[in-house]
Amino acid sequence: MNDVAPILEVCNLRKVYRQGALFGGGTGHAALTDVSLALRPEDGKVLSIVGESGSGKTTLARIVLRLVAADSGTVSVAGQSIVADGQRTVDNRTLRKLVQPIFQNPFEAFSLQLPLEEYLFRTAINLGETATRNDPRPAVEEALIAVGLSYAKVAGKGIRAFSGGELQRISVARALIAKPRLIVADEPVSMVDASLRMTIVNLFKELSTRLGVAFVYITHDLSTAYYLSDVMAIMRQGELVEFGRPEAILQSPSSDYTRALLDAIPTLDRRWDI
Amino acid sequence: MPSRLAIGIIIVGLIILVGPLAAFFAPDDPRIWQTHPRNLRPEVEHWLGTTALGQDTFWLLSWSVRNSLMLGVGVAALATIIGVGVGLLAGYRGGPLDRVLSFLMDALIVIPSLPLLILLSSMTKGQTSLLAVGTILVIFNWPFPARQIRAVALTMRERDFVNLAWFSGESVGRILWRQMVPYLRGWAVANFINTILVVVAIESSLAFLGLSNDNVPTIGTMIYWALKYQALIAGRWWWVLPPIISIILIFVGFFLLSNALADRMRINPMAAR
Amino acid sequence: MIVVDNVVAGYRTPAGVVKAVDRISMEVRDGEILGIAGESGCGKTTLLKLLYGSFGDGLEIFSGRIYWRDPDGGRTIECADFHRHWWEIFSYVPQGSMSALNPLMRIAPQMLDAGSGGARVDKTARRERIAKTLAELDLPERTVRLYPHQLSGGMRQRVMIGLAAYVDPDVVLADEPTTALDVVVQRQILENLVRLQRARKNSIVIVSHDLGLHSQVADRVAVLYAGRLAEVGTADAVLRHPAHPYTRGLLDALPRLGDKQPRLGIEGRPPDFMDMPQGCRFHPRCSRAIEACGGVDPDPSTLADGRAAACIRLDEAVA
Repeated sequence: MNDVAPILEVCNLRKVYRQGALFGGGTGHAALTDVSLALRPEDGKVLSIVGESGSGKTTLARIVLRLVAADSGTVSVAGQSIVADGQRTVDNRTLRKLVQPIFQNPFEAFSLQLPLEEYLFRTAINLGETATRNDPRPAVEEALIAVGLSYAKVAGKGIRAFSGGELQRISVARALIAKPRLIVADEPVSMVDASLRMTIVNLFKELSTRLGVAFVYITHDLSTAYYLSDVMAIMRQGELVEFGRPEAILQSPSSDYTRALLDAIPTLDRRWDI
Repeated sequence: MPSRLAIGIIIVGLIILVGPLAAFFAPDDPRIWQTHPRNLRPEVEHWLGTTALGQDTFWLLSWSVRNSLMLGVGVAALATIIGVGVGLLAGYRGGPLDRVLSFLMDALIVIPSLPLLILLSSMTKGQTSLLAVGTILVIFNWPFPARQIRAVALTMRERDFVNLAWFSGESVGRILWRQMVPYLRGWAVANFINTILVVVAIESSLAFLGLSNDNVPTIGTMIYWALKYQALIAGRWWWVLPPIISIILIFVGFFLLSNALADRMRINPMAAR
Repeated sequence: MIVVDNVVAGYRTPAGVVKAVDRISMEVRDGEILGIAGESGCGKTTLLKLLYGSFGDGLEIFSGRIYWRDPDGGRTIECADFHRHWWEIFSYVPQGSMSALNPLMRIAPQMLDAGSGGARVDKTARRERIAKTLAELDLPERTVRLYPHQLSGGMRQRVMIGLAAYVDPDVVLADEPTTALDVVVQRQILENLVRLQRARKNSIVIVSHDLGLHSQVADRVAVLYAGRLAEVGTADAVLRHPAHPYTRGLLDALPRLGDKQPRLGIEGRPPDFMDMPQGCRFHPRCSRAIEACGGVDPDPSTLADGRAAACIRLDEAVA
């Protein structure tokens, strides 16, 4: 791992979901077709992947997290290959120190039967450095403070004591404890109330600047992606249709789809001509 | 109308009272023949009279219920523990391990245990120990909870918090135990109680056919001996009716309990909140 | 027009009475598109059900009155009787209703079925109306002969809107009609809705958490918070010059495309029904709260431009 290598590099990723076949064949749904992109250190720290349902953005995220196997193509994080041609190229332990997830539904992110702090402490014990393994409490406290909470607020409590926004923040704290190079957030605010969303989005911004953690932010909301990201990728039906700085894409979109997308967003400034 | 849980507890409580609890206080070994005058009707000295073999019927019943239950509970506990463990492993791991275990489960389910036991018993001329019967019953009953738990594990595997635990570095064992097992309590309890009933039923059937071990009185053997000595024809209801009623009560009581408990403990694995 | 007069409504639960809508007064005017905005738990879905007169799932009005008045002045109908006029005066497009179509029937019989309750119009006339409405919604003529699974999500949603609209009701109530649809399809559907309304001059009530959506299609917007009306007025006034701190907070929290100016969320979280703050329900999270805010739960007071906002510090408000 070195600091010059891209934070995330995806090359020629393909994934086809097959249905209804007993011995091969069947109908295939191409979730990803030849997707390549990269987030380099000089680009910034936040890459957003924007797309509607069926665009493949979630599949891409799950492949980077190795929750799903790609049919072909490679993925590397911080110069370290993690997936190559459907095979895992690095062990699980190293993977967990390279990437960590934040899931879409804050109320699904933790078991209803356990106190939330268990996930925080176990991450510290399993993935922390030696000092943290022996005494996980400081690392847990530090991570919670970094997201604007505190251990006192979280101690002994389960999911039901918190709002969606708070739960996502706790998820971020858990991810931070592992000190990953990359956090992959899959639609992290789509199930969070509007008044609480910006807190989380701003948190990502702040953490990426202050702690140097990179984020891959998956969303269908172009406006938030524009606000947050340094680099933006737009996907449509498994293909990458746009990639670059958000300002550049807005100024001169290279695909008709992007233009249609930009036109269709109901903004507060311009009124549609109906 | 009292709840199912209440009725279930009362009936099971009664069974335990008459069975394992009372059995402690038996004045002498009820198995021994000719301890008392034969064929006495129920009276103060003998609450359920005596059998044609001179045994006190009540204490015999007490020991029989105790033994049947012990077998049932013992087998059920083992079968449930093994079944849940294997089911979780197969469901969570998937792949070749799952294929092998699933095949094993399906094979064992397909083979009916009662005919096998009948075969075994007739080969050993009714001298199969209760331990052997119990072992075979464990072997043939763990696949039932295993299949059910495997199905639940397959759905739970996809849930975010299970993945989150994995990303927190947790081992497979800890994930199964801490993340999944708490959601399985309802299923485990239901399976446990159902297995008790299956075991009681099979053992009783075996005994009824005269293939069970005589040294250990169970409800089934009691019925067998009662019928063998024509208790029904001779009108000696106090010998043949109590064990039959006991089996019925065991089934009804445990079933109600299982039903009510499973409802209370069930957490829908698909529910978000 | 539907008039809501100081209504308290909600549900009786084992944990107590939940007043999902707590002393709300407002109206749905003839010929307008009214947007109802708010976050989860604000009462907007309950309010919509009340406007529709749907009490099936235990919803009760504890006090207050809701009634519909004929645009030509004449008769009034009380809320309890709204259901007699479903699909005649009122129609409803529920949330996620794209999945509400019977997968085993073609579109035409389902649409004919829906309108048959009113029984004012015979079948041929209904068929004509259906064809006309579907055309207004940019659906091809052959749609009526297809099965639901042969249509895309956007088309199905338009069928649901057509179903609600072809009977020519006075009020169409839509609950989050475009959530779960692609942004491009959403725009088409919203345009269809607006054109439909312009042609028929009926009223449409749209419930949506998306303020951007309201800014595009609504004539007036009502913002709800924790079961109370925070602000109501013309879309332009409410969304461009919000008077209530909550509305302002919501708008400030929305990123605008092309603008990287820092935005802030609202601290805290929407209150639990079981644990309502004393006084103004928003004051624990309000950046402009003063001590008096904890003592009074204000009703909306009218401002110069005709809109109303429920805040005791309105006169000091910055436009």
